[in-house]
Order: sequence, then C-alpha cells, then structure tokens
Amino acid sequence: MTDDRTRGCSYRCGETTRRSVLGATGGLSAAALTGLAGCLGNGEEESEELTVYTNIPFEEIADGYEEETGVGVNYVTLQGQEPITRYVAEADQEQYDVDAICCNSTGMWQLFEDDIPATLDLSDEQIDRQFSLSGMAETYQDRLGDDVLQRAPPILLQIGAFHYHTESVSDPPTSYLDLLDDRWEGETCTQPFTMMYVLQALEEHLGTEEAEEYILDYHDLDPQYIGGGGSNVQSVLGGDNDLAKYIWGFYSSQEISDGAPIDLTFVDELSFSTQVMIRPENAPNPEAAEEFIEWTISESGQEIVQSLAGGSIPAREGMEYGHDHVQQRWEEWQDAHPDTDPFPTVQSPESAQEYADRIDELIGL
Amino acid sequence: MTADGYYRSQLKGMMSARRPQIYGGLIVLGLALITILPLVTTFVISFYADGASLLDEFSTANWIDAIFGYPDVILNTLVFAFGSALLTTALSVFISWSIARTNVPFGRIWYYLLFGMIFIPPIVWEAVWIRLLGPNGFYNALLPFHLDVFSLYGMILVQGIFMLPLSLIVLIPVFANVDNSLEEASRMSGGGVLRTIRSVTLPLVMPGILASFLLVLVISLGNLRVPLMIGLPADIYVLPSKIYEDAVQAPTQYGAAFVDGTLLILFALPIFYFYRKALGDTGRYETIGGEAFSQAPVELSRRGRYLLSSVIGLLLVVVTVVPVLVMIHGSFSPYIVPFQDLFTGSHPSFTLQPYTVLLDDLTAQRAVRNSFIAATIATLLTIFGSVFLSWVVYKSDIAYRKVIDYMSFLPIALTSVSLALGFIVIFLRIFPIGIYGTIWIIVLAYVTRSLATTIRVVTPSVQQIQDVLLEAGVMSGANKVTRIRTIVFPLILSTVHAVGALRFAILFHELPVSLLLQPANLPLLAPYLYELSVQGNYPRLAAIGVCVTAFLVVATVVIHRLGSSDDT
Repeated sequence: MTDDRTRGCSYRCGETTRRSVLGATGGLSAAALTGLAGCLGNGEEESEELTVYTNIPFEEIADGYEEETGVGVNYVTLQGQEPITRYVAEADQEQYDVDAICCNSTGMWQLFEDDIPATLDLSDEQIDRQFSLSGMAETYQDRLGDDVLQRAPPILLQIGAFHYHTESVSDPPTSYLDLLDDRWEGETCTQPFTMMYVLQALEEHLGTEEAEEYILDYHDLDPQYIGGGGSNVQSVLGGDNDLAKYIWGFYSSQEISDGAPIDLTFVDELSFSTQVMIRPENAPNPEAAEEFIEWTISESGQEIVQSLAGGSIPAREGMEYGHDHVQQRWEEWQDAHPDTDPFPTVQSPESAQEYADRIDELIGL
Repeated sequence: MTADGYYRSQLKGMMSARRPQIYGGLIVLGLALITILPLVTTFVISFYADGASLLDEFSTANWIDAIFGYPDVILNTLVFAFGSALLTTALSVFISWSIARTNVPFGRIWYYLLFGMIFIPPIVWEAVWIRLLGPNGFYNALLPFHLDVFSLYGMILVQGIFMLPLSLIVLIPVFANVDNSLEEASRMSGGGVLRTIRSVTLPLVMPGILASFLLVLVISLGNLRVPLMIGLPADIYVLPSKIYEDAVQAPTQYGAAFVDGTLLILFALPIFYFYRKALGDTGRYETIGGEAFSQAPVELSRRGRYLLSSVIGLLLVVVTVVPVLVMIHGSFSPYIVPFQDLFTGSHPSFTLQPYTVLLDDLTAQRAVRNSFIAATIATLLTIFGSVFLSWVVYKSDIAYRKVIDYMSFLPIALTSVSLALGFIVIFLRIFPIGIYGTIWIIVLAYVTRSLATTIRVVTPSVQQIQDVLLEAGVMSGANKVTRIRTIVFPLILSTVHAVGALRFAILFHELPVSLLLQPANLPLLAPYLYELSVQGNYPRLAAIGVCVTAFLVVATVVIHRLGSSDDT
C-alpha cells in the first residue's frame, strides 16, 4: 500500500512537474491563440475606426480628428498615385476596406472612370471656399464633369517647387529651362509620374514641340527618378542629389524648421494640383467617412492641414502656408508674377492616357 | 445482432483497420490545400487571367507576352538570385570554415555579431545600405571608385550580405561535424592547409555548401525587399517586383502576375529537387564515427590565426557594425544627415524626436501589435505543425509518410510572391471561406512558408527520440496525444525554443506575403516600414529599426533562457 502510494506519488510528482509545465504551456498557448484572435477580429470596436489611403503625411490629420471626435483613423501612406491604383485594383476584386481616399487630383480621373467617388452633401459655400484659386472649379468640371465639385473636395494645394541643398546650390534655378545646364547633369531627382504634368505645364508655356524637346533634354541629363515627394527631399538632404524637381512646396517645411540645409523656389512655369478627399461608393462606413471628409474641409480641419508636415497650404480660401519661410517664398513668386495664375494640372481620362503615352514614347517612363 | 448492428460493426472494423490510411489521407489532403493547390492554381490561372479578371477565356497570350515581352526581367531575376547566392555562399564558406574548423580567436563573437543581422528589419536594412552606397554614401566617400547601389550588382551585394546569417546557420554545423582525423592524416602525409582544404575538407562539406547555396538561391528568387527599394528607383525589374506592380497597381494585370508567379515556381522546382538531394547527401557524407571521431580545430600559427581573425573582423565591421551604426546614427538625427558629417564638424545636434514621435504614432503601434499577433500565432502553429508532421513521418505507422514528407517540404519551391498569388485565388474564388482580406490569410501563408524550413530543424530532434520510450508509453496505456505531450515535447523543448525564437523574429518583419495580402485596415510592420521609406521619413524608419532589432534580440535571449531553465 505504502509502496503503491509512494510509486503513485513518485509517478504523479514526476509527471505533475512535466505535465504542469506542458499543460500550462498548452493552456497558455490556447489562451494566447484565442486572446490574440480576439484582438484581431473585426469586432464592434473596430467599426469606430476609419481606413484611409493617402499619399501625403497624414499623421496630424488622423490625430486631430481622433482627438476631436474620438473616431480613430487608420491610414495607409502610399506613394505617388498608389492610393488610387491600389483602390481600383482592390475594387476589381470587390474588396472594399477603405472609407476615404486622400489622393492627388492629377490621377483621380482613374477613380472617376470607374465611377468610384460618391457624391457628398456639400453646400455651395463649402465648395466655393475649397475651390479657391481662379479658374480652378471650371477646369475641374471641364475635365471630370460638373459633379466633380461634390465628389472630390480639395483639402490642400500642391504647388510644384524646386527643393535644393543650400550648401551645394548658391544660385537656385527658377525655371525648368535652367535645369538643362550641364551643371545639373546627374544632380537632380524627381518623381517619375510627375513628368507628364511637367509636360502639360510646359506645353501651356512653351508649346508642344518645345515642351517635348525639354522632356528629352532633361532626361538626357540623367536625373534620378525616385518615388515619393519626401524621398526626393531626403535624397537632397543626404547629398545624393543637389535639387529635387517638381516637389510640392510643403515637403521641406519641417526640415527647414529643423535647420536642415535645404530651401525651395517656386518655378516660373508654375502649375499646381490639389490633394482631394474622396469617399468611395462602397466605403464600409459611409456616414462616418462623409463626416470625416467634411471635417477635413472645416475650419478646424483646415487648420490642422495647415500644420501638416511642418507647414502646408490648405485649399480653403484665404489661408496661407503654415510655415513662414515657405509662405515667404510663395509671396516672392506672386510678387514676381503679378499677372499670372498658376496653371491647374488636372486630367481627364483621355488626356491622362494621352500624356502617359507621350511620356512613355519620349523617355520610356 | 440486427443487420444494422452488423453493418455498423463491420464498418467500425474496417475503419479501424484503415485508420493509418484515413489519417494519412487527411494529412495529405490538408497539405495539398496549402502546397499543391496554390502551385496548380497559379499555373492554371496564368492561362485564364486577363487584366483585372481572374477567370476569363483560355489564352496563351500571357505566356507569349512574358517570353517575348520582357526577357530582360527574367534575366535580371536569374542574375540577381544566382549572384546573391554565389556571394553569400562564398562569404559564408570562408567564415564557417574559419570559425568552425580553425582555432581562430573571437570566433564565437564574430558568429554572434553576424547572426544578429537577422534581427534588423527589412526595408531598414536596404535604406541603410542606400545611405552607405548611394551617390553620397559613406562607403562611396571612402572608396577610390564609385559603387552604385542602384544597379544590379548593388542589389546582389545588399541581398548577398543579408543572407549571410541564414547561410551560416546551415554551414557552421556542416563544417563543425567534419572528422578532424582525416584532415590530420592529410597533413601528416605532407599536405598543407590549402591542399587539405581542397582535397579533404571541401569534398566532405560540398553537399552542405550546395544545400546552403540552393536555399539562398530559392529565397533570393522570391525576394521583394531589395527589388522594391533598390531596383525600382533604377528601373531594374525582377519577377517579384513586377508581380507586385501587376497585382496591386492599376491597371491590374493578373495575367502577367500569374505567369510570372508560375515562372518563379518553375525556376524554383529544380532548385527544390537538388536542395533535397543535397540534404540527403549531407547525411550520407556525415563522418561522425564514435570514438575515433575528432573535432579538434585546425591549428593555425599564432600569426596566421590573428591575421585570419582580423580579416573576418574587418569584414564584419563593413557588413554589420557600420550598417548598425549608420542605422543608430540615423535614428538620432533630426533629418537625413550623411554619416560622414559626423567627422566633418557640420553635423546638426542629435535628437530623441524620432523615438518620441513613436509614442504618438498610432499606425506604427497598430502595425507592431498586428505583426506581433500574426507572428506569434503563426510561430506557434508552425512549431506544432512541424513537430506533428515530423512525428507522423518518422515515428508513426500512418500511411503515405513519404508523400507527407515530400509535400511538407514543397513550400520551399513556392516563393513568397507566388504563394501569395495562389492564396488570393484560392481564398477569393475557390474556397471563399471569409479569410481573404483578414489577418488569417496572412497567418496561413506565414505557416505555409515556414513549415518546410522549420521541419528541417525539428526533425533531427524528433528522430533522436528512441522508439523504446514511445513503446513504454504504449505499454503504460498512453494514447497518441499523451505520448506526444509527455514524451516527444519534453525531449524537443530546447529545439522548439531555438527554432521558435528564430521563426518569430523572421515572421515579425516578413515583407512579401504581408505586402501582397495585407488588408487595408490591418497595418503590418514591414509594409509600414516600406511606407515610411516612401515618405522619405528616414529618421523614424531608423528609430523603428533600432527598437525592433533590440526587441527581437531581447525576445530571442528570453526565449532561449526559458529553454535552458527547463533543461536544467
């Protein structure tokens, strides 16, 4: 009896230690798997979160909205026209996880072509305030239809500029034509997709033949094509290039504030686009998405947009760059070109395809 | 007995007799779902996909376009993969031989330093090398010639160096297990160090070297990080980056993507065959032979071994120490600053801002949380699956064991991007069970990708479990589950800890599957790092790199310590 008990105890004790460890491990693993799975579920708590595709720094907007409304904004920052192209690709597979798309107006024709943007409930006053530059609303309507004003309100002006390293560039260029000097061979970078907008802007100023010649000559000077406006500015700061061409003005605001050796000039042949907010028809949280978009064009939303990336220029009428130095550069351009309106680069599906084909034919991009 | 009862008893008897076949069949079916099906699906869809449609009319146009339309992309892919594998293998053979076969000083330190590279997250690694070999890179400032990172050879260099730790994990045991008495015999007969290496050591370790080369080759074939970060800015496309653009960019070109995915599998399949063969040969040439077995190191002269150690040390400084310093430097800089500015007096003040902003960066926090959860679940499932399959193959009487063994190894031939494409079709069209667009499809893809290499590590531990222990379990009336729980797991616990730590570290920052299958509302770490790089937010990218590296080092040490305390 004693032997049995001892044997039993010994067996149990030996097994208990091992079993308890393994049992605990198994139990913990099962609990962990269940618990972790719970964390990942698209449960009720997740519905209070909006998902946004964007191609600009979005942190301040997301934080500002969450602070003001308690609704979380999960944003995915992509490069160039990727917020549009990725959404279109997902829509092809009927995958609709995105509530709002914050994209550049130059590529939004792809969304309109597939009839993706929903019509918002904006007042005339709101529309007038956001389409603030002269001829802007008319051009947009001409390219994408009358209802574009209700479907793609701009939140931010994207004004093309040269960003240059102040230690390497003493005499900054002010015209695209200045960049054809041999001094810039292998020393500039730009976003590949912007070449078609440069072509469009130069056609407006120089005519078709000269504009195309410019594209060829510039390409011959071996520029580095880098995706993402921020990456281009960083390339200049890292000393890899002396100048980044056709990058929106706000991209170096933060770096200038941090004392980085970088400055910018707005070019003579100035063109601009806008950053627009679009709610897709199949957004999973349509009402919440619409409220969010309306907030981005409201006064408090636009003030946050103004602080974006260290200081940018909201689309709202009468607002300035949220960065004194960049605003000063913008005023310098306005003073130097008192009778010139910046040229809006917005594409219709037909013109986009045409410009894309021409750029491909000219320089293979 | 009623007729019903009779038939039921007959059926029960038949089921009992057929149990090994039924269980084996179920396992084969399960494995086929995640290995054969993606492979076949990718191939079949390549004939039917057109534009954004996955199922259009049958056509060979996609294949004709691929073969005649972009042979340069196919060539780039092969040059990149072979170049990377050659570079990795050359370096790792030299380092493994030095550390495992000679009395070189600091060998263990060199090994751990190199092994630590595995914890540096993708994208951060490539971003750091761009800082080193870019036009104004630190190395380019030191070198008398210009090394352009944005080139095919730049891609090979970065990928080749990054694969070193994995290659060392395979090769160091191979070199360490060579019987030294053969080398001694060679030297006794007048052979010098070089001749001994050539005529004795190399033939013994050649199957292991080949296995390592093929493993790096097949991984490099499916590599997406380097082609995205370094290839695309230079307009250099390889098949994985082309698949990425065709599958996630408009206009969607599923036809091209699936042809390219199939091409990758077709390239990988023969590599898979030779890899398995090489692994078999590794076992065949093992020289462990009881008492006569000797692993004493090759005695180099004092001068020779210090010279060798210096060479390895210098190599390590170039490929590990300086890149890590550049990452740390970047993480404390207010904006991107060339590393060499540290030595010119023009450096701005250091700042903690890239770290402090992480506290408010909700997307980063969500990405880390989601990746942590996905990697943890996938690691647990991979470990359990690997032990289970090893046990089935080597310790059970279940039928179709050879088929199971082969199929569990097959995912090696499924490159990450091809696997992701296959999963898109399977879970979007064939079995729309609701996991597409959720984290579960990612977990499943992680497990499938990890299974083969994890089984390879776990199997020797399972094999060493003596049958007598399992028989004792049977005698004491324990069922199969109890036998696995009480006999198999305690004996393999230390291996599980080691492989679990490594697997978690790799999956935590996995890129290709995450990028192609990530739902928009569930950010993951590696794609988020890619976003940061696109934004040009290098300081924050570097800060996350430092944090993730530190976290993974600590996590690995903790998991290892847990393992050793259990052993004692």
